[in-house]
Amino acid sequence: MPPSQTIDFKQPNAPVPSATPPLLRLEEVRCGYREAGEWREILRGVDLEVQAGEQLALVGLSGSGKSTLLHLLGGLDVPSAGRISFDGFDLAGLGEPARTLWRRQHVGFIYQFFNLIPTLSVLENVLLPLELNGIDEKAGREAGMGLLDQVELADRAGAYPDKLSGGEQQRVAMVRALIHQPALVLADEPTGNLDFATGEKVLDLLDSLVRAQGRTLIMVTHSPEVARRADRLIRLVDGRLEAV
Amino acid sequence: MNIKIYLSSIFLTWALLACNQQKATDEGVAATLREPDFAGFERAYAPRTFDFPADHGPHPDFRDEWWYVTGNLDGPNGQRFGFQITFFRHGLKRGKPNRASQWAGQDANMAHFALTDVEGKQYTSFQRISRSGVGLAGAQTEPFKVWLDDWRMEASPGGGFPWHFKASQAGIELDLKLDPRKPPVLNGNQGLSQKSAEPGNASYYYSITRMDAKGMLKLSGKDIPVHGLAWLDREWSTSMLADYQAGWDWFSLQLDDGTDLMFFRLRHKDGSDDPTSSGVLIAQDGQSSRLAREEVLIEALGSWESPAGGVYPSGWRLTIKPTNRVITIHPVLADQEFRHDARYWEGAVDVLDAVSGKPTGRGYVELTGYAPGKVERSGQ
Amino acid sequence: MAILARANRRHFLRHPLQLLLAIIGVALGVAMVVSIDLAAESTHRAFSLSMEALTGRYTHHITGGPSGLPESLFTRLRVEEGLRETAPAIEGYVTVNDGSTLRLAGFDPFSERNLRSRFVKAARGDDAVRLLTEPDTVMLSAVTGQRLGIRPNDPMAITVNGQPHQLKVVGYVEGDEAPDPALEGLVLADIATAQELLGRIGVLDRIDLILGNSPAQERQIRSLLPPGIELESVAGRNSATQNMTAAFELNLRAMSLLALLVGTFLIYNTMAFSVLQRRELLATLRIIGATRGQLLREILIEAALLGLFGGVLGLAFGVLAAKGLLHMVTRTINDLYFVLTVTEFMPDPLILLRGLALGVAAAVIAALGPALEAAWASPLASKARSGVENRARRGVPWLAVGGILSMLIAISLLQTESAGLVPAIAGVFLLLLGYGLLTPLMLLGFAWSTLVLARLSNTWLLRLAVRGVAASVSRAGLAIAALTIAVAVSVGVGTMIESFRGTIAEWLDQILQADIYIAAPSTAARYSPPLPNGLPEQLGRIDGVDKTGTGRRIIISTSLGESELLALDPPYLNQPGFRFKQADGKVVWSTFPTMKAVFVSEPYAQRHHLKVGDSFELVTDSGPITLPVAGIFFDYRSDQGLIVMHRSLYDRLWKDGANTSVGLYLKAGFDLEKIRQEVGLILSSQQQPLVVRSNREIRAASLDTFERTFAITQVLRLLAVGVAFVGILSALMAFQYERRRELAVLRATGLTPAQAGWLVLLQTGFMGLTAGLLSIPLGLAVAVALVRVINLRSFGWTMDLAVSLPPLFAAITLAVFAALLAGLYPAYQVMRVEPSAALREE
Repeated sequence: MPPSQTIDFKQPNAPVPSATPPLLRLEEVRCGYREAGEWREILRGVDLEVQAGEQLALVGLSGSGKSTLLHLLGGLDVPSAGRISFDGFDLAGLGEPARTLWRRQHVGFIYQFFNLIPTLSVLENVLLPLELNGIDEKAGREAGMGLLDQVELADRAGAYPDKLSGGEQQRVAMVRALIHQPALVLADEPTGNLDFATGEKVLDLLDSLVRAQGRTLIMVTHSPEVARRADRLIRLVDGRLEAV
Repeated sequence: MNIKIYLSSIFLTWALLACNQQKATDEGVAATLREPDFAGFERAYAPRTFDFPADHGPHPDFRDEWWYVTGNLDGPNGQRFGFQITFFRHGLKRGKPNRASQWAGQDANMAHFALTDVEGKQYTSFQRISRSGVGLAGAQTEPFKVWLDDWRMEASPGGGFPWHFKASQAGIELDLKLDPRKPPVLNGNQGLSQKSAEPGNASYYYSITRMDAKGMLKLSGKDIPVHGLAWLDREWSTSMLADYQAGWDWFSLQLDDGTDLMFFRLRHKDGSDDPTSSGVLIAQDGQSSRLAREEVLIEALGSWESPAGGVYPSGWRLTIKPTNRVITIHPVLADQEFRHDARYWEGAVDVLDAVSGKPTGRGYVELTGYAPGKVERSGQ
Repeated sequence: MAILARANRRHFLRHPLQLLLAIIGVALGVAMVVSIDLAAESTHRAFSLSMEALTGRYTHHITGGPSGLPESLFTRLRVEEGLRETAPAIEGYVTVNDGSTLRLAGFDPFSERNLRSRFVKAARGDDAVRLLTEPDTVMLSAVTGQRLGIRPNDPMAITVNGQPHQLKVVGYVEGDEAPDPALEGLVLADIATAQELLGRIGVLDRIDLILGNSPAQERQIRSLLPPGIELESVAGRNSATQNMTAAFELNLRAMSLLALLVGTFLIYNTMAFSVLQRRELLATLRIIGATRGQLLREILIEAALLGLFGGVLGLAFGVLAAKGLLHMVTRTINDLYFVLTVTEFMPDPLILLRGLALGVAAAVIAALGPALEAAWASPLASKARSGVENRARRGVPWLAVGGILSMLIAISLLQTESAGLVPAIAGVFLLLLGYGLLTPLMLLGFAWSTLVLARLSNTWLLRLAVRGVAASVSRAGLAIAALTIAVAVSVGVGTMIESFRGTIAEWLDQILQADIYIAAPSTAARYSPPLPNGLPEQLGRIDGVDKTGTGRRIIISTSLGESELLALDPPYLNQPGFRFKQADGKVVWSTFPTMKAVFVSEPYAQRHHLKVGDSFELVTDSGPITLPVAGIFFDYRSDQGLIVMHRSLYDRLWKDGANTSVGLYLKAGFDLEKIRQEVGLILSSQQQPLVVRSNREIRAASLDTFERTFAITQVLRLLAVGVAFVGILSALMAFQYERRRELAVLRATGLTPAQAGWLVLLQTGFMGLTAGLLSIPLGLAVAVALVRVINLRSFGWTMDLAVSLPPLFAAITLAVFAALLAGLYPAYQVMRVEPSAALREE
């Protein structure tokens, strides 16, 4: 693989450091798309600050823009207006390749439908982000097995995803999202596809891993029980944020 | 002389058609010679009556035959040349072919042409081969003519001497008139020259030992009028050598006092001389007397190594006991080796009186069996 | 990139059928290109090797007219002129019992030595003596000897000029050396033996010489030559012979390129399909942080590997196919051009390497589109497929514009008279490409009109099917375009062959005016053995024979190169023996016996840019003479062309009394079979066996030769359709894969499995029908291009375009059938899959 492509994202437009700068700051973020010739705006001016290590729950009705917001935070999409700064620099100003490099270093994704790579084994799935960050399979193996052990899946390391249960798959996805020690973990209804008990177990594990490592977690959820676990709850209504 | 046997015997193994070096050994030659099948050709068992000029022409009942002329020539400005021209006829099968095509001749023909330029220290040789069909090569009696391509030797328009000889290749052209000063000499036993112990291993052999040679040499773009003495050897046979024989040293010398000397020494593989080695001494008036093996003592004075391998003797002392004469023989050029399908040394020599050291004649020497194998191209 | 690569590579292991189709696609494309290249190259090499084998190192020939040159000339050159580096040659053809033709070369071993030719090696020792001294002895190429089971010292039965002979094989030409493929088909004999066998006593065909590069020497030699005998350089002669087949080979290569094009389409489909299937996987990879560049590289590497595997497989196929093809190519060359006896197959590593590179390059280029699509797609599912389709739909008009532009260029290329064959072939390719680009638009139009019809007849399933096709125009359009092109090529080539056959048949009717023809059996193209003297007169005396006409075919030298001349003596002048290009053919024909001019065939005129009234020089026995062209006639016997003059003019110019054919014109009311028996009686008294054929038999035999000539074209045409079929199969699979969710919803809503299966078949059938219908105009256009441009420029043949309906219907049927066949598997899958499973996947 090519040498790890790292970019010092702090340098170009780093502001004067304040006392405790937020990890994420969204200012007047707008996002929408053109459908049948008409502009449909999903996010209509979102302002948000998230401190490092904070755990946020994002709730809202279907179509309120939760997933869109999450994609913006993960650098998968860019806002049509406004500013998203991560650790002081503007994400929206980055091009696609830079955003990809940023994402692979700093973000971990967890999805409702797990999105494991069906053609890779559990361990390979887990090690893929490391590999993309320039750490080869051998070097990452120990860390991967350690984390899998923490989620009680070390014995399934060689299995393919389609042989795992939903809870197991989500635990693998969690490990994959955390393996490269991202500053920001984004979860899109991680328990949405799991029964209550399994979901609780997954969340317990996620909680412990994220808190132990001091990661920032932003989790989209419909479930009040899940939301209650967060440090802070925010709600999207009509494309704007409301604090709860 | 015997070189011709050697040549005609290798005719089929390589000279004519092949270039398989493997076969180009004495073994191959000897094997062909020992061949018991003489393809119906006659052999030389007993003396015969020679009839001239008819016998100048071909004898197709015998397998091999040659017309062989060597000589020493002088130019107007002291230039000195030696030349050799030989026409060989080799019968592939006896008798006239009964075929519709004119190409279907039964003879294979070869010719060698060599020139030694003493002043230029240059020896140049050429070889040609051809079939006899459609008149490409051949020999005829009436009038006498032997030719291969545009090389030819033929009787004068009247049918007799002087013969006219002409050959040219690669910018060298020799055009000579040859007129005998002595009648033909029948070598051996009235012309029957025994070559080894087995009856039939013999040839019919005559020579004209002294002929005036006069004509024109073209060399390096210049026409040089030349004149000198030539020597004709004529021989035909079907089989000659035995397998224990290695080669021979042959001397044909024309001395200033008008006598001519021919002597050949047949060498065995074990180094000894064959008892059939012999020669002839021809007086100024043409009277000849045989020389037996023990009557001539030959001592080599030096040696010469061929660039293609093989060491030849070079320079001799000849003691001719019947006349009590001792002469030394010196090649005019060390390298006069004919290097084509066959290899042999055939060169012009000077003859000196061994006592006074003064020039006393000229001649040609032929050495075979010293350097087996053939070389693709000559040093032309 | 280990894990990333694995994630993608394992996808193919899970879809082995797809992998197989892609590899087969590349393999077929590469195989066709390679096999044709190899076959062409082998014939080329065979040609030059056999030339080299026979020419040795000589630089010039002296050649004579039809009667050869007197052998005394050779003696004169050697003995009087001292031209030592010369060798006589006689060549002819003999047939052996397995029906193959061998080249009998008469040589003089002594002279070859002067030329230092390879035959010096051939004749060695005792073998040479036998060759020289025994009649009927020959040496045989070891390869041929082994093929025929003839070993040294075996007898060998041959037929020469129709007469059986028993030869003695004294050895192999190679001696103890390894068999040399270049000598295949060679029988070497002493010149005397060859003269006797070929009945050429006293004459030579050729004298070969080595001359320095000295014009003065050439002039000097020319001045020695009697009239009708020419000195020419070997290089010129060989290249002229080899040029004869250039157009033929170019056509073959164009066909193979077409196959590769279709193969490329196959790779495109496979890669597109695999990208489609991996959409989620690729999106996940992008989310995790794989860059666009990484994905692009991954997919291109994948394609390159596919190309490599397919390429290697293709090489294997290609080498196998080439052996079969070589046979056909050699046969065609033998039928049409010159005798080529070398059939040894020579796989040139360069060609193999080139084929492999072509396969890899085609795969990578084909994958570029799908790879870009995969890399540039947003990882967000909401923006995936419909966006692509929308973009594709917007692109349809632009594609159409590009298509029309390229077709316009194509037409201008095809119509520019001065352009050569290569631009014309490029024109045909552009025509196909342009039409392909236009296909999506035509598909939408066709779908729209079908929908209107379907609405009228209220067949909802059909409407559903057609809408489905129209909705995914990017996939369907491409599949249909590919099928359209393949079927159109088939239609075009088929129509061309039909037209040609019709033209030939008509032409044969015109030229075969006599009822019975007698000729010596010809063993080789462009060589006609002469008939016994006095035969025409003898045959003319048979009761019932009204008149006789004679023909003499020979090869002569002209200022335009070596040419075939036919001297005719037709008994009737009321009906022209040829169809002339200009209108007043009858008038021209009536002056034939008295004219001091020649007719030339259309290919001859085309080849040498001759018009009526132009003159050129012919080398005759009485020296060179300049004759004008009085007429150009249509003729299809040789693409090298033919010069025709009246026998009386020929007799004035050449000292050659021989005839090569006699035609008997019967009196009305006499039975052909009966007269034929009498002819047979007369011929049985001849030394030389002769062939008697009625005009009907000649016609049939000529059409047979025609079929043979086009056998290779037919094979290639079928192969192209085969490759296209595999392409359609993979395209339809991709197409149906994409629609599986839609079908699942339909199933969930109440569509029965059978109806779902029907829906798939309706869709593929609709696509097939569209392709079939669209292929007709394109096919006809291709036919016109082939008939009016390609064939005219390749061979100089004008043909009448003959369009018949059955092949067109067959084309539509073929397209529909191919599509339905390709739809069977997807239909089966659709019927089998539980709708819930398909729905769950999303």
